Amino acid sequence: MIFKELFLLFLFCLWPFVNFVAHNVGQGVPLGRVTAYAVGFLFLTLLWVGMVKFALRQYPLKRLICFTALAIVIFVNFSNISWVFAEVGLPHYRYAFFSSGILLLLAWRLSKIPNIRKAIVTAGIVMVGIPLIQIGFFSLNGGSATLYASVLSSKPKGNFTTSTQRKPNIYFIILDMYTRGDVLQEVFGYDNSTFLEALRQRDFYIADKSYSNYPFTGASVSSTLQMDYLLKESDQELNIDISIIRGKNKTVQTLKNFGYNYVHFDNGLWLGAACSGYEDVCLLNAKGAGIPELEYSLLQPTLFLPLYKKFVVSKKEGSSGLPELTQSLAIKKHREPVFLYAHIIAPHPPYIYHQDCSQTHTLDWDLASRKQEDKEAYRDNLVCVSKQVLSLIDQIIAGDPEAMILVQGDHGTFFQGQALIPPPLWGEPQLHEGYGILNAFHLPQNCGKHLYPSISPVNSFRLVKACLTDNEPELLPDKRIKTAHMGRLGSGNWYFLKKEDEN
Amino acid sequence: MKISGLVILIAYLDPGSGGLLLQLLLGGVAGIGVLLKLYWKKIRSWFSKS
Repeated sequence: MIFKELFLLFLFCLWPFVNFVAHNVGQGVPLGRVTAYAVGFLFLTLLWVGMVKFALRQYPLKRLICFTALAIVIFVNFSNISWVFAEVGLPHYRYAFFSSGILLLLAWRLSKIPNIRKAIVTAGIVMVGIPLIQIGFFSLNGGSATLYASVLSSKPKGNFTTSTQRKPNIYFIILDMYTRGDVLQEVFGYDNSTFLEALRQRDFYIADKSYSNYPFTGASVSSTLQMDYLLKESDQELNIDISIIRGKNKTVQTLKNFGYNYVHFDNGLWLGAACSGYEDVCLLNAKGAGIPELEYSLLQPTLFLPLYKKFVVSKKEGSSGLPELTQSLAIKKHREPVFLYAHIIAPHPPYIYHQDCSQTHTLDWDLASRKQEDKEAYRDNLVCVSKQVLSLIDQIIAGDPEAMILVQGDHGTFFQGQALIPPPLWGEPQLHEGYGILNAFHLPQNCGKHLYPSISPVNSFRLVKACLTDNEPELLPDKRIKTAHMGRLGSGNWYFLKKEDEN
Repeated sequence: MKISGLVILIAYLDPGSGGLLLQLLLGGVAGIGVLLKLYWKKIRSWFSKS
């Protein structure tokens, strides 16, 4: 008897987590952490049932458990309820709280119906079964890790250095969503010339007409690290394989073949850039900024997110990871030559800094905002991050003036409604903003001569490779690929159609 | 084409709110089906009375 009741609770506690995994298969979601949260949620639910039974002894356990299962459904759909009110322009949190209360009363009445347990169990099996089938299909199809298997076996061309020749350390710093100087001026009314001039004084070349090749991180960084555009003629569609960004890519493989020690900086926020075993050394930013993406995404559909933001996160300090990285490089000497990959989730939201680098608490991961306050928060975050980048560069150059340093945005900003329509339909101002990026190079003079103002990320490591092998770079045409970005469909991966429009 | 706000708001991982709603609808239909089956005789008797 009690096992039947426990099975019911188990089904409903499991449901949101299985759904979450099904929507993000192939995104490198750590199953251990998700399972731990699911077990914790089940434990809290059992505790809740025990407390309710203690308080309402006159009601049968069966009814209390049926009510709890229905309450979980309401709880994990809080954002859906809230969204309905937001769509019609009402104060959505207030109305969602009120509606949830009414639904709970209704659930209490429903739990009284004889035989309701059978109906709830059936619903639960269907609700858990659908995402389980999705996960099963994905696993049977071999996941998304089929692309690019061939490039990993390729050996680098050219004859790199003799053992007596010193190989320069390479530092690749991605500043997520760091836009171009002219875009900052036009869209944000902000003059970033002080920072750009500071870079030039440190012998950086600024490609001030540079656009990203893709408008979103997954595609853009994958393409940079693969040194190529992503879709081939034979491809019908592309699921971005997150392991490319985590280190299973042509750039890392090439540099490892050249003897490089691959140091991967895990920003502690975005799972896409988490250490996952491809690196020789993992540097972890344990501090993170606000709510890590996994926890944010798990809490997002529930009632907990607004409460968590209000009572917990507002008191928490975050970091872009740049100060920690700077400090780490000052203390820890890695085996040389080093290839450091650091993907910094800044100035990308969550916006955590004022211009003077004091903390602020705008912690939403909202890329689609068009609000003036978010525009200002982005600008302020960028100003602080620029200062932090200069400190990092000074730290690197002080100990290693010949280091190759690439500081690059992976895509632009989206304050002109870009998130609402696919890139092929963007007008030129939206393309200019959405693809415009900071792209700065600190390279030895012999290969710096190949740089030009519109060089794009797909050519970054083609150029670096040419520098290392002392060959002429085999550069690709610089293109903005206007992928028909469809959001996350089906499997939960970024989804691109074959037809691409480029210019 | 408009992309759902709920999908695009999160940067990279998908919280799956839309999926929850869809599964809830399908599960709800199945649950109501079970209730109808269980109470079919009673429901039929109501109609036959009327």
